[in-house]
Amino acid sequence: MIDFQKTEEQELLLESLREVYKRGNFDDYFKECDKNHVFPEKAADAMVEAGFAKLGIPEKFGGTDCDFTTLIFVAEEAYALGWPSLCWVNQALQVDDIMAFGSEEQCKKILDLGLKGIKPFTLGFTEPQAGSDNSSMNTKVERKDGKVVINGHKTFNTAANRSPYMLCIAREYKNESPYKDFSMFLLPMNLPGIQIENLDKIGNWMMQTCEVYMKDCEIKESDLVGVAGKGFYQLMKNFEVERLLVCAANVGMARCAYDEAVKYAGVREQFGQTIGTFQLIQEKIVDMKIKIENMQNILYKAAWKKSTGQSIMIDSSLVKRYTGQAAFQVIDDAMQIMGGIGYTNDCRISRLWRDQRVYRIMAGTEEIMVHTAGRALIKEAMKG
Amino acid sequence: MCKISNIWVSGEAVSALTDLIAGAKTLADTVSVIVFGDGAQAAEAFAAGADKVYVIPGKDLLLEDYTPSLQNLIARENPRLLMLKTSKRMRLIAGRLAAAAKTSVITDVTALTFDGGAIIGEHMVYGGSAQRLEKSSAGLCVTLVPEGVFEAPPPAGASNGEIIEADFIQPSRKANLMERRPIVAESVNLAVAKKVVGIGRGVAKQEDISLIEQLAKAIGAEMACSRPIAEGANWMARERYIGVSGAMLKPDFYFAIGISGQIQHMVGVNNSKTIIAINNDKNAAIFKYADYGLVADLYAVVPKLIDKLNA
Amino acid sequence: MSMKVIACYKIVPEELDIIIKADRTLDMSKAVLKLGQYDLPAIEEAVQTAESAGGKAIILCAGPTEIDNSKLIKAALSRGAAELFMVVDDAMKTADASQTAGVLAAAAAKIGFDLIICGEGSSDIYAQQVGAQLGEQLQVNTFNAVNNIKLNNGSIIVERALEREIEVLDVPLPAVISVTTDINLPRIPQLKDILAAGKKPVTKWGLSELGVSIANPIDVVSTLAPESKERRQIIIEGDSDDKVEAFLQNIKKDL
Repeated sequence: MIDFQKTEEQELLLESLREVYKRGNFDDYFKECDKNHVFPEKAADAMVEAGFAKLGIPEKFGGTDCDFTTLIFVAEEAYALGWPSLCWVNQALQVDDIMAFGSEEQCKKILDLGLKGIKPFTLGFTEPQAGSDNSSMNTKVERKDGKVVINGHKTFNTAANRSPYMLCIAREYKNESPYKDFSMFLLPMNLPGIQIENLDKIGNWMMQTCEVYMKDCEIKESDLVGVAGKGFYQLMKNFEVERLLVCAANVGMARCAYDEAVKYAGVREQFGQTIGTFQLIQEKIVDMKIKIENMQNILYKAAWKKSTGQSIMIDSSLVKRYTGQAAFQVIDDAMQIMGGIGYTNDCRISRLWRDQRVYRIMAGTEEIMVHTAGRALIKEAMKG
Repeated sequence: MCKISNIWVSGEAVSALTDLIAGAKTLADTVSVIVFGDGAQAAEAFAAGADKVYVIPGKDLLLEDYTPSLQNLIARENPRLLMLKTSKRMRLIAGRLAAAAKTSVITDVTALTFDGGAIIGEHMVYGGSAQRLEKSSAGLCVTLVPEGVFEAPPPAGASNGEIIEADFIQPSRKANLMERRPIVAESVNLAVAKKVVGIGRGVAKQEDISLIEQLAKAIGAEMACSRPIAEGANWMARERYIGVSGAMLKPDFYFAIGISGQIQHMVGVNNSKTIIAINNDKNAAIFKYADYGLVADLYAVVPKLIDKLNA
Repeated sequence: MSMKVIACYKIVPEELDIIIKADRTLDMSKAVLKLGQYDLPAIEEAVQTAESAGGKAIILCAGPTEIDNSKLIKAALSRGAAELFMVVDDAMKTADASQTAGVLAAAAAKIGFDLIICGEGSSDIYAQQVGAQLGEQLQVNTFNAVNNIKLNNGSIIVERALEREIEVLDVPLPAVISVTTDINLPRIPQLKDILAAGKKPVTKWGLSELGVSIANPIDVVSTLAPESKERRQIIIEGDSDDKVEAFLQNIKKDL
């Protein structure tokens, strides 16, 4: 039985989200923050105050229990309203990552941040020589005289300038197989020896992406998260779920661009009639809508599979590859409908166009999605 | 239009009631005015055209405390139509009178007509989307009539009429007045302004209001705003907000800047002779109501307009 | 005995969904139902007042069968009140302020109360009459335009925002108070509030159970959209100097 009806509780929660957004009148504020390359603090504070940071953090730790599908709906809706890419306040998955493997002390630190809507840590994963080929990370951890010392260079670290910690993956150089040789550390970002440089990007200006240099950073053994040598596998715990949340942003941003462009098509007049009466524009609108429907269907189905305990190993790759590309096409068509105005920074679609592009690269490139899903699909076929 | 025999008129003060008295005079053969406290206001009522004045005596009372006396007077005299001048206190009193008489109040009437023995009042519903006609066929008809429905009469010489002292009925329930303080807020009477500039959410920051004020000054207009600017943002005084639950205006010239044009706002200015709009959103509803419009960023064009007007 | 505070609210059509037909009549069939926006501060104030008095906040609404909708019920109960009473009867379909007040009065008397808080007016009809009429029908103190309520011993201190003055009154309870939208900023329900709402007690009554009937000497003759005024519709696009100049020349004709 397929049922796409949101529950009344989900609908009411989305109504609350829209009300916070409406009360805040954030659109011009976001435009200004984007122009000035600053995080939209004021808007984030309003969302935190309205309880959206608490969602998905367990009740007993001060959060509000919330199923994964609802978290997806909320994120999608926020982006559909115009919330800036990479800036959503809910950190439930980061909290969950730490809760799974972290010590009591680590959990407490991360929980406090998560409940406040602060991104607790930047993910210290990618390195200049280790992008898609992540096994070639060579940030190194050494233990001397009872001290734990980290040396290395991480890159594309989202929010490294704002997050109090880095979830740093470092190599022990004790095991020949790199996958069995990584350990995970919760590294305070204010340590001596840490240098942060902002990358100059074409989009996502409200959230910095950084390079982080770590030179003889001294931490404690208690900063180890989970088990030494198991860092890589620990990182994989919520990987698929995190991927779906990224996809919710794709769907939301596409909806945002679509809504704006379609309204414009209904009123913009050229040659004495609205451009929406031209079939070339109508074709775009129809194809955009089909893509949005497809994105929602494939995303919601994967969320449903996950919540009913089914494997989404293949699905998460399919959804990531599809929504990244489809959202880009929808936003690109939206810009085309807007004409010249769509290319100016006055029009929100230009921001979506710049910001969404990286979703085809980050959190696993669309090519890596072929790599992961492709092999698995053939294997699956051979089983029969 | 046919007349009825008698209309009763009342309000907070006779000085603010002359338009209603004059209006009632065109609708009825006899106009009776009810005043509270003492008869000092009677002369003013007669000057405005009243035929009869009822005085309900009392001292140091809330206006609301006269309600039982009014109920008593109504029950005794059985007037057909009661016209009360809209104000917050009178709205409360009207409700209490109607409840006691087991009827409804036709509130904020924009027009009043008679059809045979029936009284028909028109008022706005659904946030200004529609006008509703309501009919009272018999019994007491209570109406609240705002400023601007009837013209105030030309000043007339003193005249006299019958003054009737009504009974004061002690209220069985009372509140104690603890304090009264005048609202120090700017006294702005938008209702009489000939030119009005209204601002809405298109103005991004409170500091930017001064830019629009310069424009208003250059054309000699009063400043007003849409609901979110006064309520919620609190950037401007409540008195300056135009719309269903705010001021209802009829200026010659209304200049909407950064206002989207929702019906709830527009009902407050729909009767302007000329409506002008600046908005950066070409889809904004305001342009459907506009005589002249400029689709542009207000921050780009308002300074230019000010320069040109002051040149 | 702990204090019982009742907030009244009305379920109204979303005015933006009302379609105006060619004959100027209104088509409400597409209009989503929602809680009246002026009633939200009344609910919020009741919840806050009950909280500070250590009492109980109850919400009360009356209307036709459409209001008996689980989403609308949760939407109302997610705003902090402990319990909902509703009078559901299709005879309420065309009820005006006077009839509504009569029905609410019967319900409130049955529930029992120390304080009833109403909104400024309903967001559909906006007659701003229910509070006053409800108070009179219940034969208790009633005041409107209240933008602050403070608890006193057996009474409340209210601040009324009148046209030219602020009036502070000590109002003995029981009382019916109509509050302005300035009195508070109504909470936005969070997920835990929404989930809790589904578990709160709801009592439904019909008019016959309350022993009230509906009769009104006022008839609605018609409800029509106003005739739209012809506007000149001369719209210029752009912020260049000559566009601004052209616009200025246009408006100067009427200045």
